[in-house]
Amino acid sequence: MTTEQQLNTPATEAKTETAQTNQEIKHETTIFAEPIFHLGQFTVTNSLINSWAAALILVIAAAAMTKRITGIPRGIQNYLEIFFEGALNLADSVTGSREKSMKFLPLVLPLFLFILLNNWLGLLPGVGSIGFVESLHGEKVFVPLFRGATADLNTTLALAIMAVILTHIAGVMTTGAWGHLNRFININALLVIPKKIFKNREYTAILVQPINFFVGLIELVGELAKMASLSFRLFGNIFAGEVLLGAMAAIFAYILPLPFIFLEIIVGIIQAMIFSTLTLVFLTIMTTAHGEGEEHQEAH
Amino acid sequence: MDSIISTFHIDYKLMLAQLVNFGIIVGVLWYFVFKPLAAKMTERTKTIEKSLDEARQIADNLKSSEQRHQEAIKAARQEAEKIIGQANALTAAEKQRSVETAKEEVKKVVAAGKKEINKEKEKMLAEVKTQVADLVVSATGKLLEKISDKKIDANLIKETLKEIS
Repeated sequence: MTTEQQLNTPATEAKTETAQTNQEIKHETTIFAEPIFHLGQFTVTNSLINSWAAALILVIAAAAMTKRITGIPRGIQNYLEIFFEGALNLADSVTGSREKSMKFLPLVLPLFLFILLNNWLGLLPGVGSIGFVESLHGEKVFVPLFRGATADLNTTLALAIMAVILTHIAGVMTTGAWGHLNRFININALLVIPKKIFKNREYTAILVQPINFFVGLIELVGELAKMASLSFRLFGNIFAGEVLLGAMAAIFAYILPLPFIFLEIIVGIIQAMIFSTLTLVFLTIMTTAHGEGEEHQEAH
Repeated sequence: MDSIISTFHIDYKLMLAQLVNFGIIVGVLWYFVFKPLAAKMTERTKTIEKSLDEARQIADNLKSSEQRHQEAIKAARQEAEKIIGQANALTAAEKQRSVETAKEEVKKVVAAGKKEINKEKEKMLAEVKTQVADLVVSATGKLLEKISDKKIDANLIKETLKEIS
């Protein structure tokens, strides 16, 4: 696979010529992560390498931090506590309860940090520009060694699927399997029709309850939409940022990309925040008993 | 769906690898950072709350102690005023009694003095009378010696003595 290694500047659809062969080397920012090497049957892509790097950084930082955590905070622990307290308060504003925030934050905060670090690692010099040239279908193609992990749909889709599945696990654990099932396949809505008609004399139930049943089915479709929206939003934004930076570098490599790099730093924070906050919102919704809000309104 | 998978090179093995990566991060961060940090922060919050409660209790105790102190001072002052009042009343009564006693003593002394004076006066008068009588007798005797009428003398003496007595 690896033919020759060299340093290159990123460019979208840019073409250069090598001195040795006079054959064009294609520089394309592909929409997918390129394979770098194989471990048995497992293909390691450039985005996975970045993801490993992000994981390694976080693990080292966590291991280094644990020794510094004391009863009386000093130095970096102060900043860590400010960050943690801020995250808790933000989570409280979404969940409405400190207990829920303490349960969900150990999942949501690493999600935020992992996505943020991967978004920012994709902006580092060398990511997308250090690589090798390989021959593919008779063409010489530049393959970068590193690629922002969130600029690969495999990463964002995996995180989105995991987030949605975890919301369902949390929902089952909180509201029970039957209650959670009725959120989507609202059998209760159909079962209460005779009671509402014959006992409560609510004849509109014959129309309203089937609608409630179908709303549940629509919510089921909504769960798939959640995965798609979470994964494609993050992937789209980060990949678009990489393409933008590549295009700017191709126009004028020295100063022009700078404002866009700052823009991408902010985009990285915002996208990490959106992904983790939406996950927290979904967790909160799923752990709230179905129809709790309506009953509350009816009580008033 | 197939076109999406082929376009984006979706590979379940890669997805699993990413999930394993993320799982490691969650585990490590939870074990090394969140758990100890949350424990320390909770412990500190509890300590602060306990200290605040204690401080509040101390302040309450101080306030009630101050109140008790003020009440004690007030009671002591009232007691002192009462004692002073009683002492003043006692002093006044004692003073009055002393004055009265002194007055009585003075009266007694005066009365005794008067009695003594009268006694002395009577005694003196008696002595004076005796002396005057002796003097008169002596003078009359001497005078009558010159007159030498014993009968007249005797009558004169008797009359004189009668007048004197």
